[in-house]
Amino acid sequence: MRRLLKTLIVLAALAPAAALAAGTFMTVKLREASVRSGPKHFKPVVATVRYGEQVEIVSRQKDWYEVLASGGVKGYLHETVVTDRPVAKIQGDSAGTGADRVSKDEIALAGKGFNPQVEGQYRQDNPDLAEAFRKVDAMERREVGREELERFLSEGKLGDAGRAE
Amino acid sequence: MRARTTWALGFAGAALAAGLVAIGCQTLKTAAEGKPIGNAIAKDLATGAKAVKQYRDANQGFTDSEEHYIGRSVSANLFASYSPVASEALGAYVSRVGAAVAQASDRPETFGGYRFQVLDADEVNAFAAPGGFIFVTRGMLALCEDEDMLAGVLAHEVGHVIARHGLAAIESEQKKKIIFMLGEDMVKDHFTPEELKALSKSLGDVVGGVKNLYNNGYGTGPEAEADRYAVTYAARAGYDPEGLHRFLLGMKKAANTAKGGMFASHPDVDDRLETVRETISETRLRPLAPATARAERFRAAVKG
Repeated sequence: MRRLLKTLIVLAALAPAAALAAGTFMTVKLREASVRSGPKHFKPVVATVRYGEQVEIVSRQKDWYEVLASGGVKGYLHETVVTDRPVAKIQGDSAGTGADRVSKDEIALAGKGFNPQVEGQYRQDNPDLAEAFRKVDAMERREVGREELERFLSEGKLGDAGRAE
Repeated sequence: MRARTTWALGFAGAALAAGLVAIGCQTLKTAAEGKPIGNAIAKDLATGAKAVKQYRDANQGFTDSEEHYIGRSVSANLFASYSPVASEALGAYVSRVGAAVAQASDRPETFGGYRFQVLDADEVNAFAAPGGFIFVTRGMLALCEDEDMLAGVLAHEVGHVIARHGLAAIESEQKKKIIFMLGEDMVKDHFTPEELKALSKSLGDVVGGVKNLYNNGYGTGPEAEADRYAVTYAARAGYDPEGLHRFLLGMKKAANTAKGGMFASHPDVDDRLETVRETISETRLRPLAPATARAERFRAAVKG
């Protein structure tokens, strides 16, 4: 009897973990996102996941999911990076290719409105914005690199060097 | 705590109703198979229920990638009236401060990533286009006396992006129009020339709606919300939570001598100062002395 009770207690304790381990998958909805070593904003990045990639959810800690990404990398993704909805293939965006991992049915149902194709039409309809769109492209290219940001944070006593939660 | 839920709930109901009607009429098809979803329900109730859920979920608002493309067009319209500053060093510095507070936010990454741009204008203003395209004028930078103040200002804009203030007011209406316009064809891989024309016009409407906010602001509620986020994110990044408070005090002083831009579009500074003060005390954030390294690099990049 005592043994049965013990087994039950152990099973009850394992139950939530077992439910998650059963294979809950979510899909990355950003062009790319950082997998971090811990469930905090400034933890080191251990991997990068891309649009359409499915990650296995291991557990949840506040705003972060502990995930298994492709290649068996374990780490943490912010909750705003993934979705349990299907993601649409984005015609004309570099992110579009990754969506092939999702089933065609799911992509079809995701629906789509504003994408590069529509922007192309909008630019054609508003030729006076041609130069302005080149400035947007330039703005988009000016990404703050990971190492550049880490150096900036550390020199300024910010991020992990500060008091990030 | 996120503001985006309020609109989403209202529209989800409408989308669900639309989805059910469409399915009842057997007009909604899957692109892959071309079979009416109505048949799928008859065949397998569970599959049908899943389809309804997916249809509803997929259409309750703009997706992250749509938001990005709307943000690009809004930004293009801003660039039609404002030029970027010539100094690359200044742009790079502001981008790094922005990246620090964005990474500390409740949405650390967006579809295409946060981007920051200094505009060559004397007026005091800052603006966040959907998807994370953030603009700050030279006049606004002139009012900042240190990096922690600038961090507060940029974190306020990041707050608007996170709460999706630029889209909240217009998106359900626009999305409904798109669904109505595309009907069963919305699941196709490519749009027809007519659909593209209509979507381009629709994008123009959305852009117009968001762009107006640059001059008019978002109103008292959203501005207070963005201020509360700003204090939290700046502090989480390691900045002095008082940075935004000090900036607002400076703005109050300057408001007596200047007009237009930020002064016209943002609510009463005294209210904002109170909101910021409340947030600091509620979150029990301790003030921090700005680090020497930050003071030096701010002077070199902004005041140099």
